[in-house]
Amino acid sequence: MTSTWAPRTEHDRLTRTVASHGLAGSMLALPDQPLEPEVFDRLVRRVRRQRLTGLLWAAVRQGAMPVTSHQAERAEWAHVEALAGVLALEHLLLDSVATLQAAEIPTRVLKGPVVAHLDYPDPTWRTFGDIDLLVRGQDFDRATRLLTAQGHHRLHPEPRPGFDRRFSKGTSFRTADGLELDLHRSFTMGPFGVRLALDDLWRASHEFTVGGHTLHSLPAEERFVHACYHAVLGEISPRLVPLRDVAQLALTRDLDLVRVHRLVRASQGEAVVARAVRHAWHALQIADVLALSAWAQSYRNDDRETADLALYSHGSSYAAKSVASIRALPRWRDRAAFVRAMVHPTRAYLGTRHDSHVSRLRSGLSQSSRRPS
Amino acid sequence: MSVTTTHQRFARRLGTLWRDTGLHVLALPEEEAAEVVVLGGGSAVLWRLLAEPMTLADILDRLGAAADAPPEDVVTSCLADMSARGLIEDVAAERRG
Repeated sequence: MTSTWAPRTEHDRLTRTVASHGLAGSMLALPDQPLEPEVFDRLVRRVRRQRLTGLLWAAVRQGAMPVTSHQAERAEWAHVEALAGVLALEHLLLDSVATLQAAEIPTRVLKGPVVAHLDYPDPTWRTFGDIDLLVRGQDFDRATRLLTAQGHHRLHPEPRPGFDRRFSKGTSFRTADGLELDLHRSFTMGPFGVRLALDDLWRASHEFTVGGHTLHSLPAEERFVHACYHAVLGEISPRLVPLRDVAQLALTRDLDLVRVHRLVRASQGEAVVARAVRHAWHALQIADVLALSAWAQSYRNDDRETADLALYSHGSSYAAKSVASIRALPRWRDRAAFVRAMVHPTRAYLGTRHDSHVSRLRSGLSQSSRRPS
Repeated sequence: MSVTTTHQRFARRLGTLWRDTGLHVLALPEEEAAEVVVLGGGSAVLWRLLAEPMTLADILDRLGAAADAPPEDVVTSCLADMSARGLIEDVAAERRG
């Protein structure tokens, strides 16, 4: 399936080249003279959309990408605007962690703020558009109540009380200022989320500092695995930033591969990590062969993995992922609770965007039950 | 805070969030409802210098080495402005009581 990852246009190739800036091993080369004004304008638009302004500005600042003085000003200003949002989000991060800490709820900060501070040469290189916090399932409901009491608006109600704590990926909040905070219980929804070895994620942590405050993230190996899950399962059309994160961690962190494989095996996520590494290597045209990339290249999915990965691609649905989640749950009692929540959700859940999901799920379950076993 | 005495030692205020593009520094004080401040020119240079606490004399001494060093009144004005915005503080004030 790597053919779908070939750059479709010159603009696509250029954007990927920006995404690979500073990454040893990438064969993508920045232009050796300033781009035509309309080409540069289009690049800036794409780079903003993909949250790559930090890498564009780093390339310009370091002289790796020749630009006119006007283009330099545009590149820096696009990045200044992105960074203003980043600081507001870090303020929200500190505020939210302090609230949860005061209630003795442990957290692990995920994605943008962590990799920016720990895994990139300069935190200015990596911007982000929301905040992601991981809490334990047992703390999820309390954390949700505390964040709601902070005045944040919960975007999606849970289907039934206790559902999110037991089964969901998490939920999202919007602040009065329009910032988004994602509270996670797991990395993803669907079968790969259900099978994730959640307890393993809490065995260790890595401290980092934001504005003089100590926060906890996952250790590098777990961060790498999460970057892989996010890159492959997070969005139907993966963005370049998560793929860059995968490559950044694989190429610049001295990852303990035994630990990575143990974590991934326990979560039955080998196919996810292998696909993420293959995609990152292909999208950013990385020539280096590491033990990890060699393993990813040679990894062959079994039928179940192929079917499960298809649930996260074009044409799949929330309902299909939910049905697959039910099948992935090891205990019948949990399966029954999941089905009950989906088929008989609360009134608050109905009337939201999930209403149609429920209808589709009912239909999906009904079709599924008519299939010969 | 006025910048008047040689006893003052200026430092970045703990808890301030910031990023440096190399040309501009963006800083957000810790206070609720604070807004992002974009520092350029002399203020950005001062922010970088204040990675460690310094007196006005230290600052002028360090800046003196540069050909385009700003005059003292510009430096004191920038320090007063950054202080008013909650970005820096006089860390010697507490000790002086």
